[in-house]
Amino acid sequence: MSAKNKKKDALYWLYNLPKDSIDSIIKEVDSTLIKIGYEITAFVVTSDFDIFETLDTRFIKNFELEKKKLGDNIFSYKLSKKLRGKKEKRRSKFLIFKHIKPKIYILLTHEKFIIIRDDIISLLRRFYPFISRTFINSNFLKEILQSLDKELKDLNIRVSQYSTQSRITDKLATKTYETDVKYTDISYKKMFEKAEENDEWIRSVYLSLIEPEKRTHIASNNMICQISRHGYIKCNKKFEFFYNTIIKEVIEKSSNNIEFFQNRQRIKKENYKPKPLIIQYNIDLFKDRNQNKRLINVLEKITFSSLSIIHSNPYLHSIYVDYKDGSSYDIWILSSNEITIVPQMRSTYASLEKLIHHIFIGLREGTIIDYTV
Amino acid sequence: MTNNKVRKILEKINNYQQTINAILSLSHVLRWDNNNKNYYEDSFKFIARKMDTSNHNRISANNTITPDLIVQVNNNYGIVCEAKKSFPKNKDYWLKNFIQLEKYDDDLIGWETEDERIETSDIILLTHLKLSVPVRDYIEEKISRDELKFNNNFSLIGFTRSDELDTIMMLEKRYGKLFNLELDERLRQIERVPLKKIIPLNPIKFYDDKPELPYLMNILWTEIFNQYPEKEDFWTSGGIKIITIIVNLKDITDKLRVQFSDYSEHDKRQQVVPKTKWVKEAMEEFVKLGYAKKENEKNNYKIKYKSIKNPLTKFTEDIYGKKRKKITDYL
Repeated sequence: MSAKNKKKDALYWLYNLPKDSIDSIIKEVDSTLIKIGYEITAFVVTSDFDIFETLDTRFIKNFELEKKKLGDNIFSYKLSKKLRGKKEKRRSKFLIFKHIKPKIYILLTHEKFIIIRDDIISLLRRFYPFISRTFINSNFLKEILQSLDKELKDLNIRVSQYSTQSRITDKLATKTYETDVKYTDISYKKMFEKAEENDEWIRSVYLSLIEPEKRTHIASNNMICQISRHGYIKCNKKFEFFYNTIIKEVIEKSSNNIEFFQNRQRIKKENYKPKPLIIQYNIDLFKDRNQNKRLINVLEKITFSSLSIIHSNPYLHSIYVDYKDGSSYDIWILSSNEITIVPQMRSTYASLEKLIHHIFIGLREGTIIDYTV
Repeated sequence: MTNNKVRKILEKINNYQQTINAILSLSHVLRWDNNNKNYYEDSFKFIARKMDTSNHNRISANNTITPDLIVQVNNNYGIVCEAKKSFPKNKDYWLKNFIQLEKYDDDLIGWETEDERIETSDIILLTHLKLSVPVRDYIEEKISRDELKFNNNFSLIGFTRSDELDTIMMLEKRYGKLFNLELDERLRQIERVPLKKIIPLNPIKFYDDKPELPYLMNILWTEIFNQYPEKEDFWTSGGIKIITIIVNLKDITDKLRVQFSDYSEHDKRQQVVPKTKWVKEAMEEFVKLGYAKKENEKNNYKIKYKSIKNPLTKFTEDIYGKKRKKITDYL
C-alpha cells in the first residue's frame, strides 16, 4: 500500500470507523496515525449542555458541520468554513468524545495549527458560553510538567522551543503584548525561572523526552509534545502516554475549575449571599497605583463586555458585564495584592474562566482562591 | 453643561458609594465583640429602617422616620445613626439636618425586641472626617444656645479612607459620648476597618439617601436588566444585537431592594430603598434617552437592551454632558 493510501486509511479509521470505547481510540492513535507521521492535537472543552446537541441545533454563519456517530458519545465532524472573498470552502475534520467526568469533552484532530486556530477553535468560540475551553496558565503548566516529571523514571524533560508573551509598557505603543520565540535546550524549571524573571508568561512550549546520557542528540530525538496556553496539546509520538499524563491532568483541572467557578451566582444562594473569589498575587502589585489603570484597560478591552467604574484609584470598584451570557461581577481592589471578584445574580463558570484568563494575560498571573474573612 | 458637570456627578456617585462603605464599617464596629472576635450574638444591623416615633417626640410625634443605620448591640442597647458625607457651604442650611437628628432623640419603636422598644438608645451622626471640626463647632454652639438638644447620648463620628496595603475605613469619635463605654473608647482611639473584610459579602448599593440618577441607571442596566433575557437570547444577540425585554416598575424595584439593599423578606420595616419614585425617575430617563419605551400597560417598559461600553459614564454624559469622553479621562 502506498504511503498516500496508508495516510488516507488512517484518517478513515479515525473519522469513519465505529469505535467501541474511548480507551480503544487512545490506544490505537499511536499505531494507526502517529506511526505514519501524523501529529495529533487534543484539547479539553467543557459544556453544561450536551455538546453534540449544541453543535447540531445552532446555526453559525459561514460554518457547516456534518456529524457522524462512531460510538456511544463519540462523534466525528466534517467542518466546512466559507472563507472571506473566496468561493471554495475550507474543509477540516475532528472527533469529539465525552469523558466520564461530567461536562468534559475531548476533541481530537490531525489538522494543522492554522486550521485548528482559524476554523475549529473559531467555531467553538462562537458557541461560548455553551461551550468553553480550558486555558493553561503558567502555574498550571508548571504543575503539569512537575507531574510529568514524576511519571518519567529514566527520561528527562527538555524544552526545545518555547514562546512567551509580555506586556509592552511603552505609552506610545499601539500593541499590548510582545511575543518572543526561543529555540533552546533547557529544563522546564529553567524556562519558568527565565519567564518569571522577565515578567513573561508562557504561551506555548515544545518538550522532548530524552535519556540523560543522550542529551547531546536532542536534534535527532524527534519526540515532540507541544502544550499551549490556549489549551491544546499536540504530539507526534506516544499519544497514549501523553493522554494518560498531560491530558488527564488538564481534564482533572478542567473538572476542578468547573466545580470551583460554577454555582457562584447569587440567585442560587440563600438570601442571595455573594460567593466572591480572589485573585491573589505574591507581590504587592497594586502598591503601584498605575496597576489599577492597567487592570481597567484590560477589562475594557474584553470583547462583548462592559465596565462601569465607580471608583478607580487608589482602590478600585467596578462592575463588569459579559454580554455574551449576561453574567455580571463587581470587581474590587481593596488590598495591594488581591483582586476581589463578586459574582452577582447571573454568573457562569465559562464567563468567570474567560474573565480570569484576560486578567492573567493582560495584567499578571495570580492564584485563584475562595474569599474568606 | 460641561464635562465638569459630568465629573462632579461621577464624584457624587463615588461619595454615595463611600458613604455606604462608611455605614457598613460603622455597623461592623458597633456589632463587633473584640473578646470573642465575632459579632455579638444578639446584635443586628439595619440599613434604612422604618421606625416609629413616640407621642412625646419633640419634632415629629407619632410619625415614621427612616434613619440610615440602626444597630442593635443587644436587646437593651441600640444606636440610631444618620450619615451625612457633606454639608452645604452655607451653614444657615445645616440646622434642618440636626432637627432630623432630634427626631431620633426618642423612645423609637421598631427594634428587634418583643415590644419593638429598647431600653437605651444612642444617636450617632456619621460624617467625613474633614468636616468633623466645623460640624463639632456647630453642634457645640447650637447646644450652648439651647437651639439643639439631645436627651439620649449623642456623638459625632468622622470617617475617612486610608489607603495603605489594604484599603482601610477609619472611624473616629470627634464629639459626645456613647452609652457603651468600651465602644466609646474604641471609637475615641480610632477604629480601623479593612474594607476587604466587609465589602465583598455586603452587596448593599442603596441607603436612605437618593442616589444620582446615572448611578441607579447603571445598576439597572448592569445588574438588573441582564437578569431578564434567556441565555439563548444573549447567545443569539452575539453580545452585540439589541435584546428587547419588558420590565415592570414594581418588579425591578423589588429586585433592587432584595438584591442591593438591606432587605428582609418578612420584615416590613426593611422594604424601603430604593424608593419606587427614584426607580420610576430612572426609567423615565431611559425613555427620554431612547433606551426604553413606555408600554401601554401601566408601569411596564420595553427596553432595548444592548452592550454599552462604559454604562455609568455613558448615562452621566447622556444626561449631563455635551461630548463623550473615554472612561480613562475621568480616572
